[in-house]
Amino acid sequence: MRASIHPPLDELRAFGDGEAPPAEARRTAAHLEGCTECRARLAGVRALREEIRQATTLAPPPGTWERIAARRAAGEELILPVADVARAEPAAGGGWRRLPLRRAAVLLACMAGIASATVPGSPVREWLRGLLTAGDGRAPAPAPPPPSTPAEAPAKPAAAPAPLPADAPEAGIGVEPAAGEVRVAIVRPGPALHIRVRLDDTPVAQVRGRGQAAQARFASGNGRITVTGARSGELEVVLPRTARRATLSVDGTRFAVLEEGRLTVLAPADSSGAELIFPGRP
Amino acid sequence: MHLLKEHPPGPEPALLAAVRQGSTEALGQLYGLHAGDVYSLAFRLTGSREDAEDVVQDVFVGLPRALRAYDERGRFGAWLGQVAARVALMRLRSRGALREDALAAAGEPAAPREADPVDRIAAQRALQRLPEGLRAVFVLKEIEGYSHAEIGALLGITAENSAVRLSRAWKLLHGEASA
Repeated sequence: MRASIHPPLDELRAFGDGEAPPAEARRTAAHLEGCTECRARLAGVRALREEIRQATTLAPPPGTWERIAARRAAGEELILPVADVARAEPAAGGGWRRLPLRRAAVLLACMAGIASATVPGSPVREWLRGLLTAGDGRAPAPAPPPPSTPAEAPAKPAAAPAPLPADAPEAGIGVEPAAGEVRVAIVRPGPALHIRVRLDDTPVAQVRGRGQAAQARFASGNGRITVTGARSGELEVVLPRTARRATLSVDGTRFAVLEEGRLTVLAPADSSGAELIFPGRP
Repeated sequence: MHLLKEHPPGPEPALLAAVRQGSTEALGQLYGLHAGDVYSLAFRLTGSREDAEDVVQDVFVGLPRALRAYDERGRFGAWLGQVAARVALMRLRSRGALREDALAAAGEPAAPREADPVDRIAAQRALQRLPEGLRAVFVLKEIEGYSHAEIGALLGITAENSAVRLSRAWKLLHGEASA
């Protein structure tokens, strides 16, 4: 190769990093041997990279640790986006994967609860409450057949959400109740967001976003979790069964209230299959 | 992967165990060992000192719980770096900063020029001026040692797209650094 035909910068970088394909590496090496200009270009790439690395090696500002300690002392907990959080850290008292029977029962109970929520005095409501307040970690008793009258059926059946891939991004946040109370507020959700709610024996309320919802902004403090901008994907809301009171609201509208272990569903939801789905916007 | 590769060997398992159990003192020790690395990585990715501090705070607030997912087989610094990168990228995504249409704002890359001597501030500014999507690839590849496949997995893009972004980042950086 003539020295006057200089390889592009990308090829020089790849050669310098040992990432060039063999034929390209041989060609570049031969060129560099006779071209002081390209040797200088490659040295410049390395120098600039190192300059940037050194210039951006910084220390956190003073007071950062104190602010972290204060947030911890206030009971704030975050669920960081670690790839295997869900596998390594099932919720205390049992997660979805570990207790599928319980999960199915709670989901079924919630579905029936939705059906009964708009029907005051429905006997399903008391059955639902009994089911949800069991709280002993065992699978509840077999559920009675779900109501089938038109008045008790969900007003608007919906297609089940497409299952998310197992490696879908996941992120979330948790908070301990403040004075026994937890508030979960979902702000500006997208129309394609699915919200699942369950009770657990965990002392910490948690919200986990999966799929696009993992990109939402999660904030917590003083017994409150706020999730802003979850446009699609799914949010899993875990309410501590032991909380004196817990509320889930979407854009200021209460969707569910847990009081003394009793969950009341206040907004209609669409459901199909075995999943309970709160649409992000009623 | 060579995240935080220059950090000395990781903390003692006993320290990590204490952090898992909620010891603030142990968490403080871990902060002393790793906060600088986390802050630097977050600053490189976000281009903002404020965002970088928020990332550091979030990482260490959530660390006791997150450590339950750390099996101690890999190097702790590398694992923590991955967590910090994900937190920082989440912050960027929440602003829509990593979308393709956000990259379009970068315009045509400057004509490549070879590196002139640059001072510390100029180097910081050159990195900060990169569009977030290009900066993320540059930082993860050139500073943190990720492969394009790993970057693709983190950013939700293909390895080929990661390589294209890196090429654009370098061309812009040359223009910025020598301006």
